[in-house]
Amino acid sequence: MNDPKAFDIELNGVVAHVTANTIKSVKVFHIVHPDRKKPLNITIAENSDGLKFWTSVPEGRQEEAEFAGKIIAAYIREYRRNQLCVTITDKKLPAPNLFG
Amino acid sequence: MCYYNGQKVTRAEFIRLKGLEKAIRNYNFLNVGVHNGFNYAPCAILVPSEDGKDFEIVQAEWGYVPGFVKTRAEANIFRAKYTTLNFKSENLFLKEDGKRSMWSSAAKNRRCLVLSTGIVESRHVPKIGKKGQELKETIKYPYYVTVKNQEYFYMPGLYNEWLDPETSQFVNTVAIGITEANALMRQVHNSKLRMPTILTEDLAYEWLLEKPGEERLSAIARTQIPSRLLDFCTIDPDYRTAKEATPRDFPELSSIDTAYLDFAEELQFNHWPDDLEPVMAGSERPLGTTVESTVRTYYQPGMHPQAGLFD
Repeated sequence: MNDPKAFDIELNGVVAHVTANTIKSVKVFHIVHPDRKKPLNITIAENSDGLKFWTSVPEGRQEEAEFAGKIIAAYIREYRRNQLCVTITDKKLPAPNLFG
Repeated sequence: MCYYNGQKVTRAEFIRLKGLEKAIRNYNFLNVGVHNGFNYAPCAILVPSEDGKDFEIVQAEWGYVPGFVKTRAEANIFRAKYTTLNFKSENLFLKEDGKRSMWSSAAKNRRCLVLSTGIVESRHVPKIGKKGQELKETIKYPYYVTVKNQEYFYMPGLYNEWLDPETSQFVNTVAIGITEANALMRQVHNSKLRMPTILTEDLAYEWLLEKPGEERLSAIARTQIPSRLLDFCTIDPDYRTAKEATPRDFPELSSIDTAYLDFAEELQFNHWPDDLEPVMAGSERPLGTTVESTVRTYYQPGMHPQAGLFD
């Protein structure tokens, strides 16, 4: 299934544009804010206990990364759910003809 | 134990994240809406990784510079003299005169893919004179052409790693393959009757990561996507400055002849699967059919892919 490569999310009341890129086999989300704020790159990392967390790349914007990451994850989950619905509908067999 | 952004991570994870930082340092250009080739601006290309089993996204200037060009000044002169934004797929290995083409070495050793969401080409319509006659001068109407149901598509590219002596840095430069236009593009790009080569995912994979012979590579480079798989609209002519393709109608412009939707278009190098050919006259493509365009990622044995993000 293809995840969206570009989409918009709402961050603190403003719409930010997100592009998903695969760099060195790693998924990196590039977030561009509508104002002059510096674009943010975020990815998923794993801490020493094996737990996943969102982080900014480069370092220094951890709080923003966690906030945006949660919203992106929610967006993609919802997108996948909708995609699944499309697939199921597409492959569903036609209803049997009751009057044939 | 190391810390990244205040989080305790293993040394291996720390190294991975630091490596990623380095790789994405120059990636803001990925958000540019429209790349104007004549600015020789950086764009994203996919090149094979060292082991040839995966690929990397790297930055490249659009406008191929051959290895014999020594300085940036020479490169500028070269680009002013020769347009190397595109390579003619018919001349991948041999020129019309039968001699080896300037692209042959890159075609063998330095193939890449150029990612795109859409292409902009201009339709030239003659101006009409005072007596109602057609003038030589034309009005250009830009069109934005995309592949139906695909956010991104792949075009075959040839790149060269060129050493800029002034900065002592390697600069990638790239040219995109073009082929004979299909029925739609003959009308849109009516001054040249050419179009960029657009590859299926399988052909893109073969072009980038496999080792086909010269004949096969030439056939791939000449791939013609059928018109009916493309969407198009006219856009505002300000796209070069706005760097975005904004749809705009031109009431005075005659519409494109879409008769190609009613019959199977005959193209010598149509390598697109028949099951993507939508349709008999009057019927619609089934809803939910998509052209798969997933990016393949190879993981070495024992290497774990990045943790699942959304599970």
